[in-house]
Parts: sequence; structure tokens; C-alpha cells
Amino acid sequence: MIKLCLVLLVALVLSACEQEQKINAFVKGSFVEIQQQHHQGKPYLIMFWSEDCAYCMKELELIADLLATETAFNLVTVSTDSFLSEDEIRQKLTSFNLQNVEAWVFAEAYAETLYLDVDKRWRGELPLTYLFDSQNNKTKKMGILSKQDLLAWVDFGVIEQQ
Amino acid sequence: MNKRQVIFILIVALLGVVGFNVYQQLSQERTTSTEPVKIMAAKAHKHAASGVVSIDIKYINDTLHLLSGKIEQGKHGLWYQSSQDQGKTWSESVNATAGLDIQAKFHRGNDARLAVQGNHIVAVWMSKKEGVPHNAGPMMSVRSADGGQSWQLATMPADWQGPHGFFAMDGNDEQISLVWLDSREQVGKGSQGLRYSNSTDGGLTWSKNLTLDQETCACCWNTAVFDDKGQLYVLYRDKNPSDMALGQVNEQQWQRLNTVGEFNWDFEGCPHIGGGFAIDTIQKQFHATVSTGHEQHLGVYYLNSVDQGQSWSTPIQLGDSRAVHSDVAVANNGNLIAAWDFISDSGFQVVHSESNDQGMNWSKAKLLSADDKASSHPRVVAMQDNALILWTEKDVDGVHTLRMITTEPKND
Repeated sequence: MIKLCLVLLVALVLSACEQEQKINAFVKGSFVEIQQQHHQGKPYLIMFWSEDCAYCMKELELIADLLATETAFNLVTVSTDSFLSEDEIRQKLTSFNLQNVEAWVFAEAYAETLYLDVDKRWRGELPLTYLFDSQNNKTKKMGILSKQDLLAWVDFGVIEQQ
Repeated sequence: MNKRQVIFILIVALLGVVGFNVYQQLSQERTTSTEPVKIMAAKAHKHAASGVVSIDIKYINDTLHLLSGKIEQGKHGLWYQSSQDQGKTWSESVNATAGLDIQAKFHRGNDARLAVQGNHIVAVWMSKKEGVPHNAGPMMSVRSADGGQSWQLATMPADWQGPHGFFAMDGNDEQISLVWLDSREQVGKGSQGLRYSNSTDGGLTWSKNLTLDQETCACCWNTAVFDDKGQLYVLYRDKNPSDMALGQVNEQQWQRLNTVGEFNWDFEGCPHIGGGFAIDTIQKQFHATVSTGHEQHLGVYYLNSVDQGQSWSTPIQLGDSRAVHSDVAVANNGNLIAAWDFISDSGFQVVHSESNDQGMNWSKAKLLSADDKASSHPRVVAMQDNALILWTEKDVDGVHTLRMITTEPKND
């Protein structure tokens, strides 16, 4: 009886821990909001991706590989595919073992207005990644991040500026 | 361990689980604002497209041929129409994919395309395949042998079964030529190559595929145009750097002619932007509109060539840093008509401009689209002494509608 209770208890705890990844709605102002929320001394990346962007898939894989062993930074993902369902986004992120990272999806009717909101000079090119150091200093990387750049940023907080 | 101890542990554990859940809930609430507008946006974030999501147009022997890719009740279909009076009236729509489960993956920037050879019309598009990268499948094709009245599933032009996309196609009296991107021989990170095939029997059979360029932009549309001598010119986005380039296919031989707009934009990613290309057979001039994401040169530019694409003029900026997708056409009287979209605070808007001196000077850009909708990816097709400009607009519910205007003829 006691063993059964303990097994049930473990199952209960595990199921409670496996919360579904929340997919937040990325609207005008969200980019600034994310930065305000994360300005707590720990470096983080905000990465914009699309399922149609092969380079984005490679960058997600690269970051996920590093996150598996490196806890010095957080990752915030933003899908620019407003047509994807939340389940589809979860599935894609889970396929990279990124089911526990903070996730957002474009949620304005006209996605291009969000390009302007993030960066007046962004016209939708992907991937786009912003790297924030512990002082919340921002580095913009348009195009795929190389492993070398990512490691340099993790180690020294700098990459070759775009 | 006695019963009391077990009950105590269970109560503590349950309180822990409940506490953990409450904490998680609160943490997740913190990641999003609780402002009503944002909660509404979260619930309604999925913007499923419907309506006309793909277009292609050709003007041949005084007839406009229009291919519209539509999503209706979640199902994709391709519809064909023609016009004998420069777009004033259109024939009844014919469903070119009726009865076919086409599972298409077309959208603006990766549109389904059509080409015409006499009474033969061929359409191609990317299929959707679940469970593969990007859900991108092999191309599919339909053909008509009676000027678009009836359509049949046709032979796939590609001789490699992987995914194909970003098609460009043109036809003349002798043949239909098709170019597209696929990754049958990857030479770089996320790269695709530019492939070619042609058909001399209206899309019944296709030639062995030819690789025109092993490494190109992986996600940019291409443009293919025959000249009056039967040579096919292809405008595409190259790699290393990611500037536009023009090449020529002549009797199964490829020659890359030159870069069209040397911005030296080095970009390892997906721009999703091609260009516009037109040939003035009377003035013997080539005209192109290109877009670049180079930080110092952002925008849409016009260039021309007087030596069949071997060299190009200094780029003239048509649209500023907010301008993205463009097209150009040349009317029989030599007038040039360019159209492009730009990002405004309320979404994409479409404008056009004209030149009556071979591109040296351009009229002030004129807004064509409604400012309460998002309008993008204009196409321009030259007719006799004017042009038809087409684009798609999207409303807040994701419903896409085809819009078109005819420019005023100018004979100055």
C-alpha cells in the first residue's frame, strides 16, 4: 500500500512538472517587454525564426546543443509564422529539445508591422538574433549565428557586430 | 515507516505539487502582459490564410493568362482565367486542379507559376508533405491542351524527388522553360541550387534537368523571361554575396552574365526577396528591379543593361529602406512601369512609378493600395502601351484578395 502511494505520488509530481510550454503572443511592444522582463543580470538571446527558414532550423539546433551543457544564458524564441498553431510551435521547439524555453509567436494581423516595431531597418530577413549581455547591452545578428560567434559571446560577451 | 509518517509525507508532497503549479502559473502569467488587447491577441494569434494567396500572369498574343492559387475552406486549388481586352473583363474561372488532392504549399514569394506555348498551358507549384523539413514536397504540375478550358495532372519536370520551390517559367512558340530551386546537391549551409528543364510538347515530357547555379539563395523567387530569339534569361539571387544575378540558357548551355546591382550584401539567411526583369526587344535593353538588405543600401533599385546583361547601369533607388518586393515591365512603346511594396506602420502598401526615358527618370511613386489592408508582392505585366499591375491584399482576418489596375497609356 505504502509503495503504491509512493509510486502514485512520484507520477503526480512528474506530471505536474511536465507543464505544457506556453506560447506567448508577440504584439507591438513585446520586444521591449521581453527585454524589461529579462533585465536581471543573466545574458539571453531573442531569436526570431520561421519554419520555412533552413538557416533558422540550423541556428535553433546550434543554440539547443549549447544550452544542453551551458546554463550561462537564457533563450527566448519568437516564431514569425503567425499561421502556425501553438501545438505546431511546441512540436517544432520540442524537436530541438527546446520545450522549456520561453516561446513567442507573431500575433499581429499584419506581421510586417512587427518588423518595424523590433527594428526600423528589419524587412523580415531571417534568422534574426539579438544577444543581450548581463548589462542588457544588445548585439544584433542578422543571418545565422556561427558556433564560433555564439561561443565567443558566451565566453566574452562579444561577437563580430553586424 | 508507519501510516502517520506516510500520510504526513503525502500531505507535504501534495502541498508541494499544488504550490509548484501555482508558482508556474504565476511565472507564466508574468511573461505576458495582462492588458486586454494582448490577451485577445494571444487567443487569436493564429492567422490562417484564405483567398488568393498565389498569383502568376502572362501576356501573350493580346491575351492575358492569369493563374490564381486559392485557399478555400482550408483546401488549396489553382484557378485559371484569361482576358482578351487587357484585363477589363475575364473569362469564367476554371479550376485547374479540380478533383486533385494537391496538398499545395504556395504563398506570395513562392507562387504557383504558369507558362504558355500556343494552346498549351502548364502550371507548377510546390506540394506540401507532412513530416519533412519545412513540409516542403516535390513540385506538382497540371497542363491544358485547349487553351485553359480543361486541365490534367502532368508529368513532373524534375528528375529528383526531393522538395522543389521558387519556380519561374516562360514559354514561346517552340518550348516552355522552367527553373526552380532544390537541394539535390547541397554545397553550403541551407543552400539550394538553381535547376532547369524545358518541354517542347506543352508539358507532356521534360528534358533532363540541368543545374544552372549550384548555390543560390534558398528562399528567393526567380524570374525567367524569353527574348525574341528564344534565349531564356533568369534573374535570381546568388550567394556569396547575396546580390541578384542574371544568366542565360541557350541550347542547354548556361552562362552567368553578371551581378545585377553590386551591393556586396553578404547574408547567411533567408531574405525571401527576388527581383523583376523585362526585355525591351525594340530598344534592345534589359530592365531590372532588385532589392537589397545591405545595411548601407536598403531598398528597391532599378538598373538597365544595353549589352544583353553583360554590364548594368548604376542602380537608381526607387524605394527607400522600407521597400521590399518589386517588379518591372516594359510596354511596346518603351515606357517602363515599376511597382513595389513597402512596410508602413499599418502593414505593406503597394506603389508604382513610370519612366518614359528608358529608366533615366521616374515619376513620383503613386500609392495603389488601400491603407486599411496589407498589400504586397506586386506583379507588373506589360500589354500594348500600358500595363496591368496586380497584387494581393490581406485583411485582419487573413482573407487575401487579388487586386489589379491598368495603367494609363502614355505615348510621349
